Amino acid sequence: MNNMISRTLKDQFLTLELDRPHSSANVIDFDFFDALNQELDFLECHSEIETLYISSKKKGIFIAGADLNQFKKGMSIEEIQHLIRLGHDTFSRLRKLPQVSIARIHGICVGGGLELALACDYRIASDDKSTKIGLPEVTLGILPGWGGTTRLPRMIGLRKALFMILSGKQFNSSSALRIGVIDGIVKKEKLLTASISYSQKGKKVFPLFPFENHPISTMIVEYQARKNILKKTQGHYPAPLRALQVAVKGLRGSMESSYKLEEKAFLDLISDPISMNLVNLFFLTERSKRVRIEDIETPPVKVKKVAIIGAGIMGSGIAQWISSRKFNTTLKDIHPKAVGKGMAQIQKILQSGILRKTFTAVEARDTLDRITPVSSEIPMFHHDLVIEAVVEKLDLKRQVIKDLESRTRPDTVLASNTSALSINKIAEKMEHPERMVGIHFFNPVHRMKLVEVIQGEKTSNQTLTTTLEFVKKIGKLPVLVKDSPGFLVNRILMPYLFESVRLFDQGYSIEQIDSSLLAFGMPMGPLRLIDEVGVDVAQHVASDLLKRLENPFPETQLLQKMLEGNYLGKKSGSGFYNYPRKINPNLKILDYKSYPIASEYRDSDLTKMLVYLMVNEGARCLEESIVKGPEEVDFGMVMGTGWAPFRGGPMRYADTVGIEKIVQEMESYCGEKTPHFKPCNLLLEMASTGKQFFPQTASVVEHTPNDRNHGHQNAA
Amino acid sequence: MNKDLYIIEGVRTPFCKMGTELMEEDAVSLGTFATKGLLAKTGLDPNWIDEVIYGCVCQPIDSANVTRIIALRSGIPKEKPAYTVHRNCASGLEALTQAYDKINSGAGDLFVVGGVESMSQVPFIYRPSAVKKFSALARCKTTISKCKTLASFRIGDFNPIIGLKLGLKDPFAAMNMGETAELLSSEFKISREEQDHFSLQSHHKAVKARKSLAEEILPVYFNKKIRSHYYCNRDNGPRENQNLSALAKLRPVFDRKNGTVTAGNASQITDGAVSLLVASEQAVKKHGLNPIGRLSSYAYSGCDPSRMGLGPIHAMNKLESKSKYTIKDADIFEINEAFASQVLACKKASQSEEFCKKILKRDRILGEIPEDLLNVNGGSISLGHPVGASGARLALTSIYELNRRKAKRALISLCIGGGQGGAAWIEAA
Repeated sequence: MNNMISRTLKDQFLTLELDRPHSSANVIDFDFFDALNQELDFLECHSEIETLYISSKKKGIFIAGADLNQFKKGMSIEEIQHLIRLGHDTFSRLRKLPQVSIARIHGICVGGGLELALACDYRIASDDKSTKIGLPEVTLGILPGWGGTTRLPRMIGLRKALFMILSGKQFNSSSALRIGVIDGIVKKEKLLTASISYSQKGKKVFPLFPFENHPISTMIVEYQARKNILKKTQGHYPAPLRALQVAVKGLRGSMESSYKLEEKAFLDLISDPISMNLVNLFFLTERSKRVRIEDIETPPVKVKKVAIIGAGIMGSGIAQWISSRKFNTTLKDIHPKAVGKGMAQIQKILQSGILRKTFTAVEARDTLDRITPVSSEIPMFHHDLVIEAVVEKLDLKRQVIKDLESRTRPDTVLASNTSALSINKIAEKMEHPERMVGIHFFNPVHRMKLVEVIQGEKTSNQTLTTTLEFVKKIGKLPVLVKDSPGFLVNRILMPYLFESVRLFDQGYSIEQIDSSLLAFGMPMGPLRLIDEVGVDVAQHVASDLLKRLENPFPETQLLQKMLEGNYLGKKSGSGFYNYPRKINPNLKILDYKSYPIASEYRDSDLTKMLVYLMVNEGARCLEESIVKGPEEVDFGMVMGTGWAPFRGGPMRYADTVGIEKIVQEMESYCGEKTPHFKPCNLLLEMASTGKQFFPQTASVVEHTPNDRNHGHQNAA
Repeated sequence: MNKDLYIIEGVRTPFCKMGTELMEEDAVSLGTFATKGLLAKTGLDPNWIDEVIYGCVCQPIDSANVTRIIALRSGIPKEKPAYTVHRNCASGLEALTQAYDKINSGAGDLFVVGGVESMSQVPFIYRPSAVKKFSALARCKTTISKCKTLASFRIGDFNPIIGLKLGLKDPFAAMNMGETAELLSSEFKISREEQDHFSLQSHHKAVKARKSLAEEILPVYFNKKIRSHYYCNRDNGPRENQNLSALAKLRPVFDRKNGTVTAGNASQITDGAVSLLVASEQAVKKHGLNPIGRLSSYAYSGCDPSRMGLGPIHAMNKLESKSKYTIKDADIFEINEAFASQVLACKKASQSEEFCKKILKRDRILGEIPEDLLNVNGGSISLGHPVGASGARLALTSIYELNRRKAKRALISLCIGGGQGGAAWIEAA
């Protein structure tokens, strides 16, 4: 039928090369199973063939998993059930072939791709960096449903299998070998010859794990794993629990009965909005990787050399990241001491990266070598992009940018890493403000994938495109934001943080506030987050925002008092909490409160008040067209602040609750002292017309039209 | 007529005494710092570079051809060749003169040259007796034989040979460098006091010149906090409070009883790197470069290894016949201060009719080297002598000084262990 799989028969060896037409990736869908089943038919009829090799023709990809687009386009539950069963049947046939089957893995082999490989007798992987092996299904709110949850515990023992399935992590080949999920590692060029030696070994039988997979020990393992999952997820994510259950229960019966469990669990999970929210986030991430500006007159500059001005925490963090992505980087500050501190900071990040095996010692050395530390004036004309990360003072930034403008090439992009100041204001004194853009990295730079790209009023499309291409190239996820107070993430976050401070000031306790938001699904409570950010930084960003926002949030004196008491948060050892050993609420700041105790609102109200303020501010951002759509708000908040991912983001959450209900409840919180609870016009209008932010809020199974996303997605 | 070698820019790391601030940086990282700093300071596109040449005396064992490693780590494209030269103490000058020869033979137009040395990291060596036992141990197959071999080790086996000591000894003359200096001091009748006085002057000049010297120095960043410092941008050799009585207290090192050469009037053992960007006139025009100086001629000469300290005189003598200048034309002099006695001997020899006639076979004296024009910013006695780097530093320091004085030319020269001398004319651009 189609040429999805090409077959080569040579002597007794049959090689199947996967090569999905018109696509850069191999993914699994109905057509793929059809093609594979045809090959299996052929193999079953030709018992003289001794060995089957499966490999991929795609660059850097073995199989990237199931085609998620088919879920997104809308499938009925029956169709999904059919697809699951088809997968089970096909992979069982593969496993039962009389031939020895060997998967030659080079590149990404995840989700359904790994489940296919697991059905082979042997798996040999290349030691290449692009080779990634894993089962990321639970991170999308589902579980490995094509036999992975069933087969893996029988192949490598329950404990290791759970480690793979529940973490959803993708491993490099050496880790995968250690876990036992693959049988060998060779150089990419040696895959062919190495696989031949495996063909002599005959069919592989599952090893027995008489102790590890014994019902009694599996009970203990299950108990422990459940405890760990609950601790990690606060019970918000059903997928890992379900996967655990299937893996353990499945071991007790036959493969077939375990397949049934897998199928049931998969269908349950995928009908749950949580999985849809997580899949959506996956798509938003993919979308962010493709953000571009449509109409550009002049082509973008290819960035090769970058300079960072200012070697503070942000400046050195940015330099480290950019250099680790193989860009030559100049790190400049006015005093050698500042540069030295910055370089020490970079070395620290690199050291911990070596310990965590993120990269090798040689890669760390190369990263350091690519950075040129500079503390005197040097020629700047060979830099293609300059990012300033000096102290957050408008005058200073203006001066730095103005100076850079005259010392760089006319096509050098000048960027500011400001988190609060206006890009337009910084560019005001420039002769060519079209060269100016904002690139807002989040702290810590090496951990936060989101980057806000700020478009000033005069920023040219060329500048913007150069910036976006660069941000994507260094592996960050850009969200395009128009210049406005606080941009996107801080704009929405600050009212939330300051409301938590106000509630604390009004008498609610630290534990009460933070634990209700933890229960909501935030990675940490708002007061704890202020500590992490730094009380001084939060206060600085907020005071700037307050001056510039049309609808400011109420300010309390509490943070000011904390600053005076030198409670700066985690960095000073105490803020709302004491650090670093056992983190407990700081009792010394209780005196700063206006009211010692309050009981007007229950915990659930506190959660709503805080979350609704973010919904409201997000809606205002849409009202003011600061970002393109609600997707950007959701993506920014989840990626930039860890906003409860399973709820899909504030805008998606608003749809789930119902705009009308939110407006009603906000109005009930609104009072003389709390005018900031007044819903914005967009929310009011949406409530009255019954509109939603997203066309439909329901599970993936139901039809979501208007989506023309033809690129193929990897995962699951 | 030979083409001049234009010197576009130069930088160096601070020079730090062995075992101090820079002890943890090996020759590769010192060289990388200097090279990266040079590229940043000039804003040069590394693709323009034709070749990289560094001098290094004690190349790190793990980086044979240390220059290649430095070039690659500094981001110079891998297509650009690199090699290391060795002419003992003049290795840094040798790198420059190699580039000079190359532009004259048409083998390139733009070079990064210089010298690197980490004397802190010159390895200690196991004695042959110990090496024998170690290799025997490696061959042992049973536990018992291993124990037997282990038992054969004696404490003395673990007493290492200091690599640096070996390096500073001339195997042909079987004399330590210090011993050759002692020989000169007795032959030229240079007293201990004269030598100490010369050393004191060297410190005074270096301390006074701190601000000027800072222009050529580039900070070295440690990438961590070492004794509450993140970086180093200052030579630590020159002593602010050096005085004659302190120098007089030091015991002679090479001749305990009657000697005059002490640690105080000999050069310091030091870590450091120097990097220079040099080009042909053609390259200067092509890329629109702004040279700060040029090397117009040079000469190396051999001499008696046991009197290697007179190398500069032999080299200057030879240089005179190769260039249009005589000693009188020099506005300043840089003679490497390997030992105070050796520099003073050179001064005397250059004015000695007898010496010039007998040894140099000249009919008149070489000329006077005026005290006030010699090593005006101090020398290796105060700043230190990272052996492979010093030659390049003399060029660098003299160019900066010529520009400060708006003077025309400097005569730089070094004595070379093993009985050689090197000299070169450095002129303002």
